[in-house]
Amino acid sequence: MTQLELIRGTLDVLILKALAWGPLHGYAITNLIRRQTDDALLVEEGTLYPALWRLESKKLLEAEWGLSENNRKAKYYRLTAEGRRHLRQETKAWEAYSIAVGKMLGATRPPVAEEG
Amino acid sequence: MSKIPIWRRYARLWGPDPAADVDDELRFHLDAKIDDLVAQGWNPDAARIEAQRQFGDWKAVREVGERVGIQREKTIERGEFWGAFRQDLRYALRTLRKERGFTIVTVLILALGIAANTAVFSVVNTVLLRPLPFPEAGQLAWLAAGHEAYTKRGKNAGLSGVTYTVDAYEEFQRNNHSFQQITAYNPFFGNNDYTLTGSGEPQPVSGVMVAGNFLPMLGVEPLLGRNFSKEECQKGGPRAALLSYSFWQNQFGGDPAIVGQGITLSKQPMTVAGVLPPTFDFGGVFAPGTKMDV
Repeated sequence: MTQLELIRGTLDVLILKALAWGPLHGYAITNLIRRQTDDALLVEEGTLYPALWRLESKKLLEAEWGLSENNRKAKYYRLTAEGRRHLRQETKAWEAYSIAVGKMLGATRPPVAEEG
Repeated sequence: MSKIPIWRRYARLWGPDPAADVDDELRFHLDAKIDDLVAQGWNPDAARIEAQRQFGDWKAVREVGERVGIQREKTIERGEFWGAFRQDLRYALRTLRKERGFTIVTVLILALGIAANTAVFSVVNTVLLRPLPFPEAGQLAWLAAGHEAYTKRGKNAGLSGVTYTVDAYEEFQRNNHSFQQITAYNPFFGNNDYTLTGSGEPQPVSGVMVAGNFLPMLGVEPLLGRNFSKEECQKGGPRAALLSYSFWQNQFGGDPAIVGQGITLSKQPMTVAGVLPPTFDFGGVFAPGTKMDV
């Protein structure tokens, strides 16, 4: 699959979703998003980390230092309750949005004019 | 995620360090990527260069991280500070409510202390601290006599013990080398010594006799009219008076035509030479609390 440009505003919800299964460090988040989207979405470091820190400041995430699989100290991010709530909302909004856009772009005929 | 290593607890022993945290985090990211590349068969040096290339602008990201981190630390500190403050405040209020007697006594003592201080300060401020309301007030000096005759007898001589006679005052004026000018007033005055007649009901009036150069020396300019003339200051010369501003307002309704007219004070006809400005208050400056009309 070809690489896609990340649509503005979707990075936050992607990060929140990546953390839905448990705490991860930044590198693991990029890997998870890349693998899950079959290499279609590649989150660059220059956007990932600022987004993580912003979410942490908004208290949607909390961070803690730990040891990685190969014994390096790494900063792990975890969803807060507020973050989880935010993720649910955003997922709903995104699905509705995506269906709407899909309907519009998938249209094969002009809509029937409404009786006014 | 594995356990937090023990040393992490002490890593920020000297306060949080957002810059170092950002460095650690980004370095870990780079190392992890290099590891992965090496695992894919890259040569370590090439892997490092490739990882750095993929990362892009390291410095820009670092700056963002530092800024965000410092901001976050500040928020946390502020939160902790106010949290502790609120706790202390609540504890204090709870204790005060429990010990009602102690609270009442404390508040009373504080109230009395503040009241006493305020009262003392108001007096000290007017009497001692506030400069005299004259130009170059620092050059003014008060001459007080210490008459041996009285002090030796060990008696409280009252005003007579600390004042000079008119003869002595004239002697001072003739031989004065230390002061620019010497002036005098008659301190033996009381309340309502004079009586104003001629305009309706007789009115009791307070007045004080001053030497001719008394007002000019203090830099007091009459609001209306003129100061005492030389003849008026001679013994037996024509009598004249300067009205205080408030007396002028109350007794003569602020009528400027009064200047130059005659009034009768204690059966002595005299001319109103002028009106003193409201800023000059003999009673307020020389004898605080005494009201002076002329």
